[in-house]
Amino acid sequence: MESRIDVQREERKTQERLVISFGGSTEAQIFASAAQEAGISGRLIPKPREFSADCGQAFMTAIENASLIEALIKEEALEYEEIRKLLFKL
Amino acid sequence: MHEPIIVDARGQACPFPVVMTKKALAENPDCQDFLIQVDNQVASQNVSKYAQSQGAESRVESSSEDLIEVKISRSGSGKTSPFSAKALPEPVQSKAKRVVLIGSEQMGSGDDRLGDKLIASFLFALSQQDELCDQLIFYNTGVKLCCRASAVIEDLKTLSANGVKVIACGTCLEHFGLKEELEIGEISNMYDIVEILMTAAVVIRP
Repeated sequence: MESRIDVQREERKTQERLVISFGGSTEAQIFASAAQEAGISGRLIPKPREFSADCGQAFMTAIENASLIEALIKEEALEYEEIRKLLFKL
Repeated sequence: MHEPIIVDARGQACPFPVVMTKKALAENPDCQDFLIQVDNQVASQNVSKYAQSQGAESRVESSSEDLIEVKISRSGSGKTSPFSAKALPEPVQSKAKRVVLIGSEQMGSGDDRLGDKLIASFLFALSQQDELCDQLIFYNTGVKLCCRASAVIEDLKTLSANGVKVIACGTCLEHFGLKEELEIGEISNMYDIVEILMTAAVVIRP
């Protein structure tokens, strides 16, 4: 049986996700609510350092939702800063 | 067959049932059988875990609402154990390097909604670290984060799957009536928690 330490030292698997950053937490919350209403799965996470060193929130969702997110932003005129594809540890 | 030594730990708050059991086993090295009486399930689980960590076998029998008996049997020389053989669990891992201690379902104080967001952010960020902590201990309202409907369950599962040991205080779960709702983590007692903290190199309390 693998020891607990060996589990940590093995390279963890990663998965690419779509991440949308915002100027403030209000915009982040509005976006998350709109996504939920539209049936797009995702969650708010701390804003990754790849965007900026500032504290803040970002919305993370599956890469496959990219076109849905694009449509949602247009339909609801949602404010956001940037959209990126980033790797996250599983 | 010798009568078992009876330890009445009913009415005793955690960690005293385990403390009393430990004392009885230590003071009676020639005795094979002990009967520990407690009045709640968490105490019976803690006493059983302690007995097993000492290489003894244990069996829990519930006689009534207020009486739960934990029968402990130490292996004798060539004596057949009355209990069925089962694999002994790992002893309490007390040599943790980095321990994160979470005593509230929110991070910080002053604004509960903000505190909810912050603790969720903290645990997500924790799950994304290159080097993870060794143990996560939850107590007081912090235990709610380990229960069904918690917004942070997925991150706790990620941490656990990557080797982080998640521990939830049994007394706290019982206080909030959440013992049956525990979704992730091992129920532990104050005795174990103190031991882990005393031997940790770093204790982080967000």
